[in-house]
Amino acid sequence: MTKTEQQRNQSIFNLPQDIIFDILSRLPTRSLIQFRCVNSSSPPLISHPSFTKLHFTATLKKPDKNHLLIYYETLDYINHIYSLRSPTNTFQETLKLAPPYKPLHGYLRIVGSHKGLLCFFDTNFYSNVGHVLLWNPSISRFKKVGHDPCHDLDKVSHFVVGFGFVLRNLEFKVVKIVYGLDKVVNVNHVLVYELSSDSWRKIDGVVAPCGMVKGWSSNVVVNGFVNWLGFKEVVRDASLVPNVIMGFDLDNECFCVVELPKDIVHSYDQVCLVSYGDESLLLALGAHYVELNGEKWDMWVMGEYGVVDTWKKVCVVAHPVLSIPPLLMRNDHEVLMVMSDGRLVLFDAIKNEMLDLETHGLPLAFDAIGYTASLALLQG
Amino acid sequence: MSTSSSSSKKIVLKSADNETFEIDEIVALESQAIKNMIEDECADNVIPLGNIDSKTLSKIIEYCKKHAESPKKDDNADIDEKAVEDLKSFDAEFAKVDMPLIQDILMAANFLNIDNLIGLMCRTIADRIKGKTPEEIRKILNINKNDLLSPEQEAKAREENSWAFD
Repeated sequence: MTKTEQQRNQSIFNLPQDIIFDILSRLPTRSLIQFRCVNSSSPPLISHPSFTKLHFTATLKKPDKNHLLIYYETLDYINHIYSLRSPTNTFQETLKLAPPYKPLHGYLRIVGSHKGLLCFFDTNFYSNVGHVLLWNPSISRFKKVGHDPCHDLDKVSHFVVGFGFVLRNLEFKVVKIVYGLDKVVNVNHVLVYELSSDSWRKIDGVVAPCGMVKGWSSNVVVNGFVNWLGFKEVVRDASLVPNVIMGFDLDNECFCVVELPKDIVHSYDQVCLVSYGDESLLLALGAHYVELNGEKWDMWVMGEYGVVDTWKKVCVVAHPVLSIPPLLMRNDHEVLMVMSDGRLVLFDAIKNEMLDLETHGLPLAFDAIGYTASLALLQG
Repeated sequence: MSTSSSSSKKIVLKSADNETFEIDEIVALESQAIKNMIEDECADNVIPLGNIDSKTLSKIIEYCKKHAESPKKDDNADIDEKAVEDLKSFDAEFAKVDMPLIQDILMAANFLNIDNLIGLMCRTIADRIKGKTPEEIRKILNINKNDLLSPEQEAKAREENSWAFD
């Protein structure tokens, strides 16, 4: 081998492409992002479709277990997103995120966070007007999803949105269920958006089996199903408390109905779904009620998705004033809560302590989601 | 160069700089490419490797010898834990070489189709650039200064990196 050949070969960019991809797929997302600045050959390598797929598959095997994003509005109605690293439980305000989008309709709501992508819905409070937005904060890529076929139907009264990821074909999907105004019949349309084809499609012959509250319904994704709280019947009275969970299977695009725990406290006046743990494998539920000595949230976890007998009450969060639904459960005894004065706290049921996380905002505007960096959305 | 006992079948490898290496066939079989040549009976007594120099080839033979001697993981259920540890520490020592040699080994291992060695070298490079800044990565990989991003590209990439997490 001549000297010049040796020198040429000393650049790893002269290695065969699958070898380079093998090396890069072993790097965490942050290192890859740094690697993009290394030289003029590096950005196209990282954006290569075969590589993004390879890295994505590698990322799926090791979710970031300690990373939470906290989304809230301050008292001046400005949205903030902070990154919270556990187990230290300290906010790193340097990691404040500015969404790359100015909401057109007033409310930018988090639909979900999966495999490096955050999904927002830009809407006003009670109408069906709005946009789905996808954002990968790690690489500052942002996508405004086009309108779905039902976005301007006159008869739409309300809708729910969900976002998730199908492992089988590595597909990001958004599901939107549009409810109609019809007085008697349970009219609704189910629409699914796929990122790979960047298009919406209406699922023919499938209707949502449950009614939803008007206004925004948050969801949690468990076991490949998007779950919302709803009603077994269509309801007109907005003050009713949900009595069932509706699940949508993102892969097979069909519904299931999950009953609440049989032993749920009879006097519950609020119920909420919360995400549990790092990998969203378990469905978790909070049920609120008031007793003489104050307010309580019973926290329930469903051991096996869809099997009603596996609901188990794992802890109780108690406080004199505690009406705001829990944000998430880190495990069976740690629950992220917002106090009525807008302070974010971590409740530990074993120590019976409320750890003040030293952040506060509008009490009802908080959301908390897990986050694992990926290169999703790098292309297109 | 004799590298083994006289009882087993020998294979001779010839490097680009015309050095010959006589090795046991079992060692040569660590290379899927040589294995295929032997099975297809298209290997002569001497296998010329015109794109691998003697320094790289002797390193590769060192690796193959060690791995041929060690019990294979799928041979039986009773894996000798000590042997596994031993092989691990051999691999760790083996990878302590400079970047140009790693790259030569990678090219050669790719040509000879030695999966474990490709994996070891890829992991070694990845471990060296993990958690490093672009400047540090350039230094580690000896990246030619003539091949950098344009200032505009660099500014754009940096802006996109503004939220790179740990």
